[in-house]
Formats: sequence, structure tokens, C-alpha cells
Amino acid sequence: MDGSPVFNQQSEVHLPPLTRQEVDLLLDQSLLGTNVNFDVTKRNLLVRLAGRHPYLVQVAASALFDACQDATEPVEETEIATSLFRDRSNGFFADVWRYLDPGAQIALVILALAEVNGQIHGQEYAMGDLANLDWYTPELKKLGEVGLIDREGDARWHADIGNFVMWHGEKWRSSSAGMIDWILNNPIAEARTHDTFDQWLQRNHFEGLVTAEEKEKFHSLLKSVPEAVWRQAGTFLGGFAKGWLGHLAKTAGIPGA
Amino acid sequence: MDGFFGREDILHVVQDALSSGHQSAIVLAGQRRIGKTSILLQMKRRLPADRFCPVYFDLMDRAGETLEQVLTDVAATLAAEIGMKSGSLKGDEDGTVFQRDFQSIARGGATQP
Repeated sequence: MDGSPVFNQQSEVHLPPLTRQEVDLLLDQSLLGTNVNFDVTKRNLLVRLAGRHPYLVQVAASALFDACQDATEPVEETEIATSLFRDRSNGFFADVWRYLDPGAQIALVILALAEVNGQIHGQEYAMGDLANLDWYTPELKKLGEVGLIDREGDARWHADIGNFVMWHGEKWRSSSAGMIDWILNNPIAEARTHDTFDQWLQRNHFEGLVTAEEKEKFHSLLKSVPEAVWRQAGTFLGGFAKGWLGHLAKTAGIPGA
Repeated sequence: MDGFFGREDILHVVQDALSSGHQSAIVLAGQRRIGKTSILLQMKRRLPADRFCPVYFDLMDRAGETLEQVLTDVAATLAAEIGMKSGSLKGDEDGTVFQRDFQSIARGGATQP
């Protein structure tokens, strides 16, 4: 192919999420000249909400900034910030979701369920019957290969998968609590209001991607989320704000946290 | 301050690739809103003016337009950047006129439109 004007003449550069240092730099620069400062606790909350995606970091920072102006006590501040973040990031997550293929969507639905089930049972993460299945791993790996594999931080957790997921060994999880919240309140909430699980699979083009056995386990993971969780407005981020998820940032070993 | 920060490693990779002279294209890939356009706009500011003439042209939502229309807009954008007048490319359905007049300029030639 020597001499061909079209062969081997282009390179590909993948744009990863920000490093934690870049997140801190962004916050420092944005807050310069204001009377607001985000301490380490606030910054960890922000990274847990947003991951390290530059747009989401800015959305979370603006939510936290506005909450700092309005709130009178720290708990209220977190509640206002998470609520503002949810309102302002909704369109972005919907957009990201729309461009994922059904396999990747299924993988994220399962991660979200694992995350919320884990929280309910006082663990970080609970996969239920799906724990021994690795059928979703190719999709997760594919998402990770979008060029956003991040090997910084301590050896325990690695961040990424399109900015939103972290993995530990073969366990993956979302690095953005906001993404989990969105998935719970949209595709997963729809699964609960649909007439049947099959109809929901069909509508989301998931039918055919899962075997009968996987479908059954998937369904049981979905049903294992208690009704009470669904009745609460703002399930995931609501719990986050009330300290329900507060230990996550500490125990997950988020890079730089 | 222009609001851009970080990403120094990426900027260097792109700048090195452009300077090598062997590459005709660089694909900058990443998630939605991860900052691809910001990198492009930043490159436009940073590339040395004596060696590069960076022109930003957005092809988003142009899939439905004819080649003639897109090329006319590319020509107008290029012409504006280098301080030239741009004529219409009406009838240039296969891009021949565009290629003759503008590609030679992009390559450093002296042809005037």
C-alpha cells in the first residue's frame, strides 16, 4: 500500500474524561472571584454525582453553587444540589441513552439495578442471580473501549466505561450516581409500569438479546427492588442526599477522592 | 482567560500529528459533550499562524444538503479566513471547481479563485 494517498494517513485521538486534578482545576478556576469554595467533601459529592465528564462536572458545580447560596444547613444544601443536578442533567442523560445500542443499554440497566439493590441491602453492590453471569461483559467492555479507559487512581477501582462506570475485577459500576438515578427513573421505571416484562423488553429492542434464563434472572433482579423504593420520589439521588449513599464516595475508592 | 483548561496532552498529540506532514486527517473521538469542539477551537487559537491557517467548519446537520451547497459554504468560510472574495459554486455538482480553486490554496499553491 506504499504510496497510496489514502492509506494510513490518519490518526485517531480519543478524548477521555477529565482527570480528578483537571476537575479540581476547573472548580478552582470557576469559583475564582466568588465567595464560595467547595471543600473536599463537596468535591467528592460532586464527582460521585457527575463522574468526571466535563459537561456533567459543570452541571453539578452549578447545582452545588446555587445550593450553597440558598441552603441554610449542609443537609439541605446536598438535597437542593442533587435535586438541581437531576433537573439540569436530565436532557443530557436522555441524549446519551438514545445513542447507546440496546446491548449497552441492557448492561447499564443491570448495573443500575445492582447498585440500588446493593444500597438497599447495605452493601455497595448486589447483582442477585446475575452475579455469576458474564453475558453483559462484552457490552461493558465495548462501552469501555469508546476510548475512555482510565487507569489512574488506586489499583482497587478503575474508572470509566463512557465516563459513567467503574469496575473492580469483573465487577462494573457507574461512576456517576446521576446516571444511575436517570436509568432508575426512566427505562427501569417504565419496566414497572408496562403490562409485562416481555413488552418492556420488546419496546426497548432488548428482546432477542437475552436468553430465557437470563431474562428470568433479569426480571427477578428488577422485582427485588422493594416497592417502597419506587414510591419515594427521587429514589436514588434522594437517598444520596439523605446520606443513604453517603458512604459510597468513601468506600468506593473513587480515584483521587 | 478563555475558559479552556487541561487537555494539554491531547493538544500536543494533535499538534504533533499536524506538524508531521504525513497525516491528512485526524479523528478526534469521544462522548457527547466531552469537549471535542473545545479542542478544535483551542487548536485554532494555538497553532502558529506562520505555518497554519486553521479554519473551523461544522458539518453537523448538513447530511441533507447537496455537495454544491456544502462546498459553497466551505469556500465562503475559507475565503473569509484568508481575506479573499468567494464566488458562487453554482453548478459545481461534482466538486471540480472547488477542487481547482480551493484545494490548491489549502496546499499552499498560488491559484486565485
